[in-house]
Amino acid sequence: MKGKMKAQLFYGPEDVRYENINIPEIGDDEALVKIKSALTCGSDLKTYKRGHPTMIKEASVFGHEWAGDIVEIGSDVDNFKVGDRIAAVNSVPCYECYYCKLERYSLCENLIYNNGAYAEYIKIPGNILKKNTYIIPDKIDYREAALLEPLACVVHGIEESNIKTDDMVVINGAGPIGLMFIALARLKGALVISVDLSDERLEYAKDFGADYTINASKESNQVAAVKELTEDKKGVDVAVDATGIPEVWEMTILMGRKGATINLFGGCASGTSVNIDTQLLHYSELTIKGVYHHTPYYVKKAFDLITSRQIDTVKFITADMPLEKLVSALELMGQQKGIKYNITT
Amino acid sequence: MKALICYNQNEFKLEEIDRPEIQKDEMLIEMIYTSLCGSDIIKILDPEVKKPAVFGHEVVGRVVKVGKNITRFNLGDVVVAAHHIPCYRCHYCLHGNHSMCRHFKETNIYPGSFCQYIRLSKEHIRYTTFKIPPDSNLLEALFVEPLACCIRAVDRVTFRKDDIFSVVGTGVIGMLFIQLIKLSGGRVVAIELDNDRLSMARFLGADCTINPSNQNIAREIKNITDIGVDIAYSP
Ligand SMILES: [Zn+2]
Ligand SMILES: [Zn+2]
Ligand SMILES: [Zn+2]
Ligand SMILES: [Zn+2]
Repeated sequence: MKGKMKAQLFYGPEDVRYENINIPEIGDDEALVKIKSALTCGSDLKTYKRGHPTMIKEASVFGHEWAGDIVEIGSDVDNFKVGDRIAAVNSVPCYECYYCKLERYSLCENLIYNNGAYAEYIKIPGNILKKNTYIIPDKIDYREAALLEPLACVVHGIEESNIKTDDMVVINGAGPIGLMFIALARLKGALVISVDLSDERLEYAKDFGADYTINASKESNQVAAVKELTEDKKGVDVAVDATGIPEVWEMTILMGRKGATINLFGGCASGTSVNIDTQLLHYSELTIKGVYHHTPYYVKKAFDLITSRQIDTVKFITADMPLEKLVSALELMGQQKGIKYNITT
Repeated sequence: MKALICYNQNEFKLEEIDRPEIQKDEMLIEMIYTSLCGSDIIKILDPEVKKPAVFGHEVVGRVVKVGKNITRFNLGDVVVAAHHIPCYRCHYCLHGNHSMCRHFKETNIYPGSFCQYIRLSKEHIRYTTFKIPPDSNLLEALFVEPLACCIRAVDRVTFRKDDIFSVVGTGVIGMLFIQLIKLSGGRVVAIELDNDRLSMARFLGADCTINPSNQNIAREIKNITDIGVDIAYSP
């Protein structure tokens, strides 16, 4: 499809411009999609505030959580057709590299990110179309399906957290990712403690099923406050960070009981590091792990969670905003107002 | 090229057929070695399997023609290739059960390895073809595909050092199992009707052997371990 479209372009930190650009051209194995819903994401906010180390080059389209309609399709594509309502994630493993052969697909050496949801149209590369794209059932709205990508990341995170029924789980941070963790931890049968600085977000946390909330701005010692809620103050079975703040990572580690699983999920700024008490790690036999991104298996799981309505996706969307107001939506996220914004054209 | 055509289980003919044509994403492989697998025999004997056909899927070959889009392989490379390719998208693939995938079962090398040249598809080249160093023992490289099957089976059980395995049947796959189990620190009881194979099994590391044609399996196992083996394989 030749022609121009409106898009938000990232030029550099705090420099995003609303421009007219060419509609992407597609190859034989690709598809062009008219975006019907694009969701704001914490990582887009990070990109907007401080740039992105690998994913986004200068002056490029961004946004990666979306759903829409196929409006044009390459001649080699046989599993989709024009008019299909679809949602897709932003990458697909290559299945060729060392890590793919190990079935550690999120560590694939050849993940290429498909960005550009903050625009009227987006192109889906052939491999994503083949292996990581789903047709949305009629009963599911575009904006619900647009949650596919972040939810897939969090399903990956939850499956790596070793949560057993009735475990005490603390989720640090009640942004979109933290709230998804809360909802999924509840599905696992856990008791959930949500920690955040914002009362507004802690209200969302309760709404998603948090059993306890702690406003860290009102506690002198949030580690002690979390431990206080556990039997004999021994600490939680599973501690998750969903903030990406090194100081919170350190506190997350301290919140676990002996033998706890610590999932440091929120990605921190590059160049930062944390301190771990070696004695604590050794004698408490902590399992501390990082979890990144999604794999096709978790994408499918997330898709099923959305379509079966086990996750109330609508609750994650605070308001609709037109594409030209993207920066305002990102600013609102930065002020921790609302959860996600649905960007429409 | 020459190909061994199977007309029925008792009738094979070495005939001239067309050498496979290749497209821009494909390669032509000249056979160096190919071997007969138990699964070939099953297909040959099974009246449901369509014939005439060229069987065979364990290959070591040399690249003699490359499509213009091929970048990872060059003329003269010696390669091994596995014949089935998962789709990486279906329920089974997403759950790691790639061999249950329909696409996996439907894909194959063309026309089969009991001939002079085979064609490798784009997917074969991408996912299941590996270069082997020219100075390696090419005959040993024939075992890449069957050994991969056995490694997968051994990876699927949890066991500890010195656990006792029974391996029932010591054909090629059984013999590969014996060596893998020994490598991983297990102990092996090999069970087989053929005494020559049993001595080969001992040579490859089996700790005990039982020939059911003149020994009572239950009693022999009881002599080795009172409570039965930890893991039983029946390749
Ligand atoms: Zn995101
Ligand atoms: Zn890869
Ligand atoms: Zn075989
Ligand atoms: Zn499959």
